[in-house]
Amino acid sequence: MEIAAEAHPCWMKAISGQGPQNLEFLATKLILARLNQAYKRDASPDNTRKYVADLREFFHKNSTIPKVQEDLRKIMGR
Amino acid sequence: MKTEMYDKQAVKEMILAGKPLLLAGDEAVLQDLPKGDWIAGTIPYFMAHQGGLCTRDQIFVTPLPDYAIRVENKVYDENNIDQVYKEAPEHGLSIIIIPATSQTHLTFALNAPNFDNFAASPLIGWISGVMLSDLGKVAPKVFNGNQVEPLENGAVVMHVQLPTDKIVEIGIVNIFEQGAGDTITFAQTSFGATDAMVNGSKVNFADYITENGVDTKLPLVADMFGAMINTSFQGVDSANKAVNFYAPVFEGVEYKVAKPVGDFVSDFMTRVPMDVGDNLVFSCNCILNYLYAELEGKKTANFTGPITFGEIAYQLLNQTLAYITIDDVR
Repeated sequence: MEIAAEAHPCWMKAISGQGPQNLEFLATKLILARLNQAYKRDASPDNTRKYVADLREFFHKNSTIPKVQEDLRKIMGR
Repeated sequence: MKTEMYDKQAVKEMILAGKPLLLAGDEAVLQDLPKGDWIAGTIPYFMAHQGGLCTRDQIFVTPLPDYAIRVENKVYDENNIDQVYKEAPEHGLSIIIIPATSQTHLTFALNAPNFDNFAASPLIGWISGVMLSDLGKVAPKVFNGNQVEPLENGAVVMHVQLPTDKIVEIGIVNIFEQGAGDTITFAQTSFGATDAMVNGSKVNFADYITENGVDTKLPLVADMFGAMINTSFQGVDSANKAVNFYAPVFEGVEYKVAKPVGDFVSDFMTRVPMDVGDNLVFSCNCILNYLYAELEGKKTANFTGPITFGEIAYQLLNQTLAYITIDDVR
């Protein structure tokens, strides 16, 4: 499954807590919780880019796991 | 070879046969095992197949699946535990055991979510402990099978490389969920708190607990995108007006006191995933669940393993059953 580009608004929605709340895979939930807290503390453009990169990297690394694919679909709104 | 309680002689034979093993037992029974591909932590409480059990004489053995390609034991401490995710195998899992109250335990608990590559690969494990009557007298320990000598501080980690056609999933079973009460936040990530923000107003948290008659057997629960993550109360220090926890509360995270549970075992059974079956490789459950729910002699489905002073499913948890499954890519 293709992972949306860094500039896609779904990533900002996800790390700011405006995206889907009920995800499937435990690691996705905990990573998003960590990124959401970090974003609340420091939403500077440089750090925001890093949060998005971390989240995309997680999906890339775990792309064969069905529940991760489902979480990706939810985040990308598909 | 089954995941089960064994006597020491049987465990020696498994080690000498070259089986990679995860072990849990009382310190005395873990002493003098042969060198090999194993890691261990001290604890005399278990969820055995016959139910909750306390014994100093047997060892709980979790054999790794035969299809594991490579195992590597590594010991970390508070100075390099932040590398644990970066050093995980490209495809596989890592199992970690840390002694309770050690500096490595504290460092991991407070900082794991901020480690590089946090949760990018599966990390599961537990916090080792002691017989409750030995608290304060005997230190919890961990063992690296390549060195055998016990450690009072450090994390033993078995990094396990798996074939790429295997899917690893860490899950949790938490009978607690957020109650309908106040929203509580803390200004600092810490194992203790004096002040808290309750519905946006600053209060002394010890006073809040006392005045509101909060049942401290119920944990604080955070809803992390659908994962209910507990922080258990260790105690209220009325003299110093402070509250201590068995895991950190995290800065800015919104907590609520858990909703009371009815019968632990029946509530637990309603939350157990039905699709785990033979794919279950390892699980552990919390000493507070063992105590508060009086699990001695009671079964918790087919989830067996050590009863722990903290569970690790990517990060430290409390009052939670953590487990790992390995399935085939479909």
